[in-house]
Amino acid sequence: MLISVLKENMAHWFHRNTLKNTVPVKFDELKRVSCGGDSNKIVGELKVTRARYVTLVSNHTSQADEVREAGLNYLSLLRGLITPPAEAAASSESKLRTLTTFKWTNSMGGKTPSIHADALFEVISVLVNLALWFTKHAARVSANDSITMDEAKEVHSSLKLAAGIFYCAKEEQAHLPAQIEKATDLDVRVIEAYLLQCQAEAQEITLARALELGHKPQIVLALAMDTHKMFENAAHSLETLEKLLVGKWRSYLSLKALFYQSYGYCFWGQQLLTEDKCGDAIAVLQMSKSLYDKSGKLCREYASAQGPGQAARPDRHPFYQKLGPMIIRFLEKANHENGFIYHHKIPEAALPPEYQDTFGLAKPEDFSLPDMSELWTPQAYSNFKSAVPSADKGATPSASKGASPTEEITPVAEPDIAPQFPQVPKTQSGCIIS
Amino acid sequence: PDPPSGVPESSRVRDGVAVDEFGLPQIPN
Repeated sequence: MLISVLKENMAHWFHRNTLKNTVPVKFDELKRVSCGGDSNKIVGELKVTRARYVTLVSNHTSQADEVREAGLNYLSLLRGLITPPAEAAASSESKLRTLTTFKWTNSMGGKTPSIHADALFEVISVLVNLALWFTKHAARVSANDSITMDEAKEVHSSLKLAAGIFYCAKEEQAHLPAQIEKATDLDVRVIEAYLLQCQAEAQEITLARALELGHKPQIVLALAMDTHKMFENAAHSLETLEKLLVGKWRSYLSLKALFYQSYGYCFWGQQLLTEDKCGDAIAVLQMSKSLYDKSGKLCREYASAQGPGQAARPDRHPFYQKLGPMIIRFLEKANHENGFIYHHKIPEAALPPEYQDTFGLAKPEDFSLPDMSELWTPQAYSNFKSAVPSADKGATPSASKGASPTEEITPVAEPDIAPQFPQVPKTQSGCIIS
Repeated sequence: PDPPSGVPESSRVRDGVAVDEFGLPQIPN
C-alpha cells in the first residue's frame, strides 16, 4: 500500500495573498512626445499588450501559456522605456522611463494602490503579478478532485516558474530608487518571502511523490528538513514587517516550517530505529511530536488571524492529519521495543537529524526579462522627443509616491479555488491503495 | 546542480543516479 498523497485533493493546502490590480494606462504622455511612424506604433502596442496581459492575468481560468506569453510580450515592449535600443544609447537610461504613471495595488491587500511614474515599477509589478498568478494556478490545479501525475508535474513546474519570476523581480528591484514604500510588493523582503515560499511548496509536491513511490527514508528526511528551512527563512524574511499586514501570511509559513520539521524528525526517528538506536529514536520522536503539537497550535492561531488572501486549512487536510498518528505509532513501537529489548537510556535532547541534500530539491526555473521588442529600433526611439516628466503626477523614479487616501482600485474578484473542502479518504488508515 | 528543466527525463542524472522530473531517483530504493 502506498500513501497516495498526490491523489488527494490539495484544496486549501496553500495560503495565497491577493492578485494585484491596476487601472488602464493610455500612454497619453508618450503619445504627446511621439513624432509619428514607428513611435506611434509602439504607443499603440504598449496599450494593447498591457490590456491583454491585465485581462488574462486577472482571470484564474486563463491558459498558463497565454498568460506567460502576454506577460512576456508586454515586458519586451516595456524594456524600451527603461533602456534605449543599443545603437541609440546615449545613456543607459531611456528618456521615456519616467513619462508614464502606473498604479498597482499590492498583494497584501487593500484598495489603495502604489503609484509611480517609473517604467521599472511597472516591470516589477507585472513580474510579481505574473508570478502570483502561477502560484494561484498551481493551487487551483492541485485542488482537483483526484490529482494525476501530469497535474502534479504542472503544479511543480508552475511553482518553480513562479520562483524564477520572483527571482527576476528581486534582481530588477535592486535597480529601483531607494525611496520605495515598505511592506509593498516592491519590498525585497516581500519578494524574497514569495520566492522561498514557491520553492518550499514545489518541494512539498516532491516530498509527497517521494512518499507515494516509497523512496528511502533518508530522501524524505532530507526533503522535509530542507522544506522546513525554506519555510522558516520565508517567515524570517517577513519578521521586520508590520504584523497587521503580514501576520497571517507569516503564521502560514511558520506552521508549515514546523510541520516539515516534525516530518523530518519523524523520519529521522524511524531511521534511528532501523539502526537499533532505540533511546535516541525515542527522544527524536518525542521531539517530532512536540513540533507537531506546536504546528497545530499555530494552525489555530493562523485560522483566527486577520489578513488578506485565501487562507489555507492545513490541519484539516489528510496529509497533515496523518502525521500525528504516524509519530504516535512509531513512538509506541520504540517505547515497546526499548522496554523489552534495548533498555537504552533516553537522552534529554534529541539528536539533530543527519542527512545530505541530494535529491528532489526545487530550484527556481531560469527566467529573465525577454529581449527588447523589435519595434524599438533606434529610429523609433529617436522619433520620441526628449521627454518631459509626467506633469500631472510630478513623480520621478526618486520621487514616487503612494496614492492619495481617496484614490482606490477595486481588488480583482477571485473565487475560492476549491469551495468544497476535501473529503477524508474512507479507508481506515486515511490512505488510498494504489 | 539539478539538471536543466528542458532535459528529457531519461537523460537526467544526479550523482550518477537517473532522476525523474522532480529530481527523485527514477527507481526508488
